[in-house]
Formats: sequence, structure tokens, C-alpha cells
Amino acid sequence: MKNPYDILGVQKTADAAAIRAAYRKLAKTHHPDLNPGKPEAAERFKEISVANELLSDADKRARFDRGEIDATGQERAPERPFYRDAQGRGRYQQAGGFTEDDVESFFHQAFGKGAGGSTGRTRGRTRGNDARYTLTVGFLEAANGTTRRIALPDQRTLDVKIPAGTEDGHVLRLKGQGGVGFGGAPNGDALVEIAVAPDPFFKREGDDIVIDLPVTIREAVLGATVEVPTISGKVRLAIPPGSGSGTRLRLRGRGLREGHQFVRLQIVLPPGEEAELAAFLRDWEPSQPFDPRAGLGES
Amino acid sequence: MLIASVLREFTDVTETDLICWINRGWVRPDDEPAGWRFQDIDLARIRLIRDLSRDMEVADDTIPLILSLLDQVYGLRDSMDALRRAVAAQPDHVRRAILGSIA
Repeated sequence: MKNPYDILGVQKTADAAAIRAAYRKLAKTHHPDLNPGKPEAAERFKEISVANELLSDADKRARFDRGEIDATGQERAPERPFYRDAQGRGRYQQAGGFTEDDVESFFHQAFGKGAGGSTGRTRGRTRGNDARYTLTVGFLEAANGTTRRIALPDQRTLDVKIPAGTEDGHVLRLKGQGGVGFGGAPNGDALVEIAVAPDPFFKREGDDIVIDLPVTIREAVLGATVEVPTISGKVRLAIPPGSGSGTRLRLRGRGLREGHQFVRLQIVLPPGEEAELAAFLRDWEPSQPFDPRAGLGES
Repeated sequence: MLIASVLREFTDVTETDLICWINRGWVRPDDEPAGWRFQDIDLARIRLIRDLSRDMEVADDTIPLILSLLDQVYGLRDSMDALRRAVAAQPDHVRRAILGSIA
């Protein structure tokens, strides 16, 4: 019989916390239910439990240390059934599970899901499963189209061509790139769902692109030609004199496919104090006085 | 087995613990008019959850993750076993052909 200190891998001087920690670590590694494929785990776990039972009991541990009892004397870990050996696990199988003896259903589950349709499923000859993947691409990648390579679970790689203008949630079907067919039947398809990451600047509305463009007071009042990002690079945009916040300008053909890009102007005040601007406004009287809030809230 | 007899098997699992585990779906006894009825498999599962929670000090929110993975492992093992028996029942040349296509 091995020494319980050796079994738990602790010093003779170890305190209760150290013993507990050592036991916890070993239990996580050797618990038979976590090792259904290792019959020897039951024996090892029992050894660990016995050692823990001896060393975690201060009285028993002291008697053992004084040589009054030996490690074997304590070896009466009750024979306990483990989950891995219990019958009737079927009730805890997840949806789609099947009873142990249902071999036909096993083949159906392993090879035949997704088969069906007009061809139907013939015994022993089943189309491969469809494999599902999700691919996240950037807003501009989706807008302009791109090719991405994904690694499949079976070491293969798959080049996925994402067409320009692909929408969030679109599912691409790659024929024959899914699970292998059984008995000479065709392979399943790979279904790749495209997730498009949102962009802080570009927003999509159908095939149109909408952006908010900050402009200075001077540009808004006097008009200007400014550079504007589009999904296909920068273009020059003429801002007509007297354009207020919310003015919507169109960049023809700069959207997706046949769509356009719409630019909403947003007047931005200069950072910091502008004493001259403030002084000017204080003295300035508009030639055509108006109330921008006239009629608000009245139906 | 009724809940009272189940609780007698454990010194460190309270009725509150057990009801909580059942409510979370970790343990699924038969729900009968007279009360819950536990089978051997449920008892074994309670022991496993007890080990995870007490001996291994696994956090409560991690336990469903472990149970789910374990259920999948056991499901796969049962499937493998069914497949193994199906293959074993085949004529020699079929078994060789299957082995050949795995290797």
C-alpha cells in the first residue's frame, strides 16, 4: 500500500488547505466519470479518495503519523457506482440521441441527416450531411466582395467567395463541400452564413450607403468641395453654399450595385473658444429674421 | 426511489441543493403525481454533481458546461459502441473493407 502523502503528492508537513488543493486537482484529473474510456481510473480514484479521507481527518492523520494505523487499515472506501457505469443514460442524452441498440437510427444520425427531399433516403446510400459554418467579414469586405479561406475540421481548407454587396445573415451554399456521402451518394453541402461586422461610419440601407459627414460652419455657409470616403475610395463632393445640418447630398452610383451613397451634413462648431465668432454673432442681425422652431409641436 | 431516500445517501447534499439541481435540469427524475421518483441513473448523476461541486469545487455556472460535454461524450461512446457491434456483425470481407477505408 502506497503512502497517502505520496498518493496526493504532498509533503508530510502540508496543511489542510494544501491537502484539499492536491485532492481537488487529482480528483479533476482522475474522476472515473470524466474518464469513461479509462477503466484504471476507478482504481486510481479510489486510491486518491482513501488517501484524502485519511489525511483530511485530523485525528486519523495524527494516528497515521504516529504509526498507530497504516494506510491499508483505512482502505474501506465504499464501493460506489459511478455515472459511467450506470444504466439508462438515455434520459440525459441530448436531442437527437438514440437508444444504444438503435443501430438504424445511428446510421441515420451519422450519415443521413439532411438527406431527403425528392430523392428520399435509400437504405445504405445516404447523402452526406450539410456542414454549417459562420464567417464574419468586415463591412467593406462584404460591400466590395472578397475571398476568404476557412479551415475545415478535417484539415481541408475552403475558399469562400463572398460576392460584392453580401448582406448580413446571407447563407452561401457550397455544393458538395459538406459531409461525405455514404454508399456512393453525393456529398452534403457546406452552408456558410456570412456575418457582416457593422461599420462606425458607413451604414447600409438596401443598396444605398448612408454616412454622416461633419462640416465646418464656413463650409456650410460658403460652400466647399471636400473629400468624402466611399466604399470604393475617396471622391470629391461639392457642398452648395447655405447647406444646413441634415442636408442630404447624393453621390450617384457610389452605393452597392445600382445604389447611391447619401451624405448627411452635420455642422460642427470649432473646438475651443472663438471670441471673434461669438462677437460677430452677438452683433449680427439676419437680413431675414426667422424662428427655426416655428410650428414645432403643433399639428 | 423518493427524494427522502435519495437524501439519506448523502451527508452533504441538502434538499434545497437537490431541488435546485432538478430545477436547473441537471437531474431529471420522473415527475409523478406522488412526487419525484429517482432511478439509479439519477442517483449516479447526483453523485457526479456532488463530486464536481464539493470535491472539485467547480463553480455552479461551469457545471452545466461539464454535464453537457459529458452527455455528448457518453452519447458518442454509445454511438461508437453501436457502430462497433454493427461492424462486428458483418461478414469478414465487409469488415476488412471498412477497416481498410478507415486506415
